[in-house]
Amino acid sequence: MSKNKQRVLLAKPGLDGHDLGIKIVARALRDAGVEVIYTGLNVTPEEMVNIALDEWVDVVGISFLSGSHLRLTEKIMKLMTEKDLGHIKVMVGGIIPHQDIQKLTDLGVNRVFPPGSPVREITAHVLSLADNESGS
Amino acid sequence: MFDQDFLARIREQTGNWLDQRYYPAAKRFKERRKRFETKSGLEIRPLYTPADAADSDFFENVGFPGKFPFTRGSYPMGYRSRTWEARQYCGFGTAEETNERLKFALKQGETGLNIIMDLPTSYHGVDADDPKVEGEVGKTGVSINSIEDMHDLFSGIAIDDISVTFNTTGMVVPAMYFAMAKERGLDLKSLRGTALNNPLASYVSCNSSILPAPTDALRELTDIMEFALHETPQWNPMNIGSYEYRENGATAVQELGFMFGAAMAYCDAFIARGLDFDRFGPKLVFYTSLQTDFFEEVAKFRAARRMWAKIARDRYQSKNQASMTFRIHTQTSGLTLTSEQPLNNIVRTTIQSLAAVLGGTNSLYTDSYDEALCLPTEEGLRTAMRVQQVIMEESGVSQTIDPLGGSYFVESLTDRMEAAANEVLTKIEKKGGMVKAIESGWVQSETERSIASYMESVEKGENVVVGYNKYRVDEPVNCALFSVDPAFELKQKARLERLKAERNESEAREALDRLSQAAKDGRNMMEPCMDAARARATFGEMTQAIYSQMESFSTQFFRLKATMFS
Repeated sequence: MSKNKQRVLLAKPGLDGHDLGIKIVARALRDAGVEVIYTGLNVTPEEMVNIALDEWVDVVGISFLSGSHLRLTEKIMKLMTEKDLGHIKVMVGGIIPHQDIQKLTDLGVNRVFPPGSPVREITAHVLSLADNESGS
Repeated sequence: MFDQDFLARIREQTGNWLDQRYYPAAKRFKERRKRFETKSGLEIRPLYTPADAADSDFFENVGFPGKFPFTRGSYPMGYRSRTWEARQYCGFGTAEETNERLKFALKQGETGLNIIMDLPTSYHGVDADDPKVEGEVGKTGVSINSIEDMHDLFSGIAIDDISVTFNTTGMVVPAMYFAMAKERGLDLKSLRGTALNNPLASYVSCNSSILPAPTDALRELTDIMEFALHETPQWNPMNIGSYEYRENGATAVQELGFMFGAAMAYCDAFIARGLDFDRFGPKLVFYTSLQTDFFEEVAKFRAARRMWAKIARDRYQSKNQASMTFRIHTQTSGLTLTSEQPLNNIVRTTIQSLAAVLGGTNSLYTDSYDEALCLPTEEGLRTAMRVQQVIMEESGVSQTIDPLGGSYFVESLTDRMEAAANEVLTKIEKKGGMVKAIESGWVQSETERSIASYMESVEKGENVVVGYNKYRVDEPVNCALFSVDPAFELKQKARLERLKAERNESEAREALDRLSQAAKDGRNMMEPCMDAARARATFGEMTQAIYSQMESFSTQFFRLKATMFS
C-alpha cells in the first residue's frame, strides 16, 4: 500500500506576529517529506479550521507566544469537533507554561511542545503519527 | 598607519610563526572547529597583528570620538560625563498597573522610561473592546486607548524630567502623549524621548495588521517628523531599527545593511517632502539588537558609526556634525534567550550588555532572564538593571572611550563588517531601494536563508546553544512566572465604556471627521490627531480615521510572509 504524503497545517491564530519558530518547524517538516500548509499570521480559529477542512490535513500544529493558548485552543478544538475533524491530531507549541500542558491535553491536544523542544523531536513525532495511521 | 618596513617584518614574522609554531601544533592538537568565524560568517584567523590594521588610515577611518568618522564614539566624552541611558521595558494590564511598574523600575535606577504596549494597541490599531482582540488585552504590553490612559500611565511621574520611549508605530500614540502633556500645562519643547516608528521593519517582521502601504506609512512618518522639527526639539519621532531584522534571523552584517537601507529610504522620503537633511538629521536615532558573538557586536557599533557618518557626508552632503552623529539604543536579543535553565540568560545578557557598552551604545535595555518564558517579573527587571549597574559601577570599562579600539582584531573586524554591510547596501540599491527590496520579498527571503542555515547548524551541533543542544538538564523549568490577570481586560473595557459615556459625543465625532479630512487632503495630521485625543476620541477611532483614508497593505504582505519559507 502506498503512503500518501502527510499533510500538516501550521497555524498562528491570535494577534501575535512572531512566527520564526513555526517557520523553522515548517522547514524541517518539509525537508522530512511532509506537505506543509502555513496559514500565515492573524488567522482566526474559524479560518484555520476551514483551511484544515479544505486542505484535508492529517495534523494541525499551532504556535502560541502571547499567552492566549488556553482560550484559543479550547475554541479551536470545539470548532474541529463541530466540523467532524476529530481525526486530525492537534499539536501545540510555543511559550506554554508547564502548568498548562495537562490542561491542553485535557482539551484533546495530542502533544504539547514547550519552549526548547528540539525541532527533530517535533519532526519525529509528526512522522510517527503517519506511521500509526497507516498501521491501523 | 605603520612604517612599511615594520609591516613587512610583521608579515614575515607572522608567516614564520604560523609555519613554525601554529600549524605544527595544529597537526598534533587539531583545531576544534572546521572553520572559525563570526556568526555572520566572517573568518576569524588565529592571530591579528598590526599588519591587519595597516590598510586603514587612522585619521580617515578611526579618528577621534565625537568627530568624523565617529568610529571611536558619538561624543567627545564617551561615558566619562554621562553613562548610557538605562531603559527597561514596562507594560502590562492597564495604565494603572504599568504606572506602578514604571515607578518600581525608576526605584531600581533606570534613567529612561520605555513603554511597551499590548498587541491590540501596538500592531492592530484597535481598542480593548474590539471583539477580535478578546483575551489579548494587556497581555504582552499595556493597553492604551485614550488620553485618559496616558494621564494615568504617567500619574506622579515628571515627564518633563525624564526621557520617555514608546514602542509604537504610527502617530496616534505620540499624539495622545503630547495632548496629555499639554493638558498638564507642559511645554512640548521640554519633552525628551522618542517613539519607535519604524514601519519598514514592521513590514518585514509582519507583526502589524493595520499598517498601510509603504507610501502612506512614509507619509504618516513624515507628518510626525515635520511636527517634531517645529514643536518638539528634544523628542525624536523615530528609531531606525535593525532589531526586527536581526531577531527574525538576519546576521549582524545583514542587520547593518538593512538598517542603513531603511535609513536612506526614510531620509529620501523626508527630503521629498522638502525637509532639509541637516535639520532632521539630528533627530534620527537608531535601534539595534545585541546577540552573544561578543567581538562581532562591538565591531558592529564601530562600523555603524562610521557608515552613517559617510552616508550623511557623501550621499546627503551633510555639513552638520549633529546629523552625522550616529546615536543608538540597544536591546539585548530575545532570540538568544533560552527557556531551559533561565538563569543562564543572566550570563548571556551580561555578555551582550558588555558588548553594547564597549561598542559605545547611547541607551540600553537589558532583557530579563525570564523573558523567554513570560513578561519580566519584578525580580527579572531588577536583576537586568543590576547587570547594567555592575558594568557601570564595578567593571571600570567605561572609564576610557572605545577601550577596544586599537585591538588589531577589532579594527580588522570593524573594517570587514563595514565592507560586507556595504555589499548588502549595494544589493538593496540594485533592487531599487529598501521599499522595493521589502515589497519584492527579498529582505525577508535573505533573512530566512540566514536563520535556516543557523538553525541547521544548531540542530547538527555545529553551533552550541548552552542548555538546548548541549549541557541539557531534562527537568521542567522551575521559575516564578509572571502572568497577566485576565481581570485587567475587563477593567480596561469598563474604562472605555466610561470614557465614551462621559465625553461630548458630537465634539469627538467632529474632531475625528477633521482628522479623516486631513488624512484625505494630504495635510499634516498631527494637530488634528491631538485635537481628537483631547476630545476623548479613542485610539481605535483615531487609527480608523487615519487609515480608512489610506491604502491597506496587510493582506498583501501576510500572503507574502506565508509563502516565504519555501
